[in-house]
Amino acid sequence: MSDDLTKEELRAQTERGSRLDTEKQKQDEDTLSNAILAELDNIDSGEKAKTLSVRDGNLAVILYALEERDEMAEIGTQLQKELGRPLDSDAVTRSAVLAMAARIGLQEAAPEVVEAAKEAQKERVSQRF
Amino acid sequence: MPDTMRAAAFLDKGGVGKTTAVAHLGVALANDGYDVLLVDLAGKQGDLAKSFGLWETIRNQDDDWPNVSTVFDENWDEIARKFDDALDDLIWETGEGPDLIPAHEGLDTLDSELNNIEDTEERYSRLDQFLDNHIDEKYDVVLIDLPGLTNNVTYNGIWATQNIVAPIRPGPFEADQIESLEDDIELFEDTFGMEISIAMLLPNEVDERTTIGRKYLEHFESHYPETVGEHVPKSEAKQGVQGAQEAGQTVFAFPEEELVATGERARDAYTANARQLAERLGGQNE
Repeated sequence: MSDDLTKEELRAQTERGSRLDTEKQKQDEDTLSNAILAELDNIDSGEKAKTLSVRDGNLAVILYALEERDEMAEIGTQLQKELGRPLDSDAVTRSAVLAMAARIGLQEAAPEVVEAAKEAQKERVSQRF
Repeated sequence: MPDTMRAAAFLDKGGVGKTTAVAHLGVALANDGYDVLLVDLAGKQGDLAKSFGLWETIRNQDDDWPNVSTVFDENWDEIARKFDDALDDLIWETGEGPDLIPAHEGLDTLDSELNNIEDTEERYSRLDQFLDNHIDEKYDVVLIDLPGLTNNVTYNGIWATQNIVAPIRPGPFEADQIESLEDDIELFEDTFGMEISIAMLLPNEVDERTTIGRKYLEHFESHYPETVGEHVPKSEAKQGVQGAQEAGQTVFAFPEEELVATGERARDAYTANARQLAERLGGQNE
């Protein structure tokens, strides 16, 4: 029940279109997911590169220091654990550490982006089924 | 049992004349002095509004909220409290006596949304709650046009009225349709522990000049003597039922002198059926 809802909220909650309108709305709401889906095609076809580069001196010095002290593997497995991935210190490279750190950051700051990516991946799998 | 008389036109088949029956019974009841509300739940095409020439106006209005699908929402009572004109905005005058809550495209998605309500009593009683809380005090009769299939919206209509008007076109499959309707009703009654009546079987578009037409009438009258209504003759002329509906009105709107014979007989049949229906429904409320 919703005694706290404003008139505008009540109206927004109860407005309904046709089944086609709802499907279209769903597609519009998933724009990021659709965009990610499109980019997956671009990566697969080679139109866009899988490699990203980051220009960040302060980040670079952290990674150099971790490598120098041979602590990269340990940090890497911590990141793997945070992401719920199997622990595999052999798979920890500079690139992998950056990728995992970026994912964790996105998950913390913008979980809806990660959700959209998961939706896109699911859609991709179902398209290929 | 509500104080307002309620009935729903239902048969698990399209094109039997439910909308035409609701429109004509509604006008006949209004002509007999009842305050009548018609509710169109039979899909987003707006056929009941078309029966009164209202659909284009309704479709082209700037603001189509609230509408018939809104009343099924759990927040309807709050909407009615916060928006002063919410109920008035739903209701249109047909110009022939009854008022109408027309269909809306929101009915398209309503069925699947109702599916998300786990508690079946809650899922099927939304319309009943709306009628109890907002309509009963304003109208003597509520007639509901239901979809020609069994879905959550249909069950809401059956739950809210517990009385069914079933138009039947005489034909080789229609006798099976009545049995199927009786089976549907029995299942509903068993599941929800309520009594559902077939208030009227309405033989529709009967060509009594033909042997087959007469044969089917005899079948209905002998097998369902207590529920069968007066048959409505086939009336395809411009000044008959079909012509009237195409012109966006009921056959009652034609001046007497313009009606063809079948149109006149159809009008008289609906008048008699409306009176019979009121007697049956009113008798339940005593």
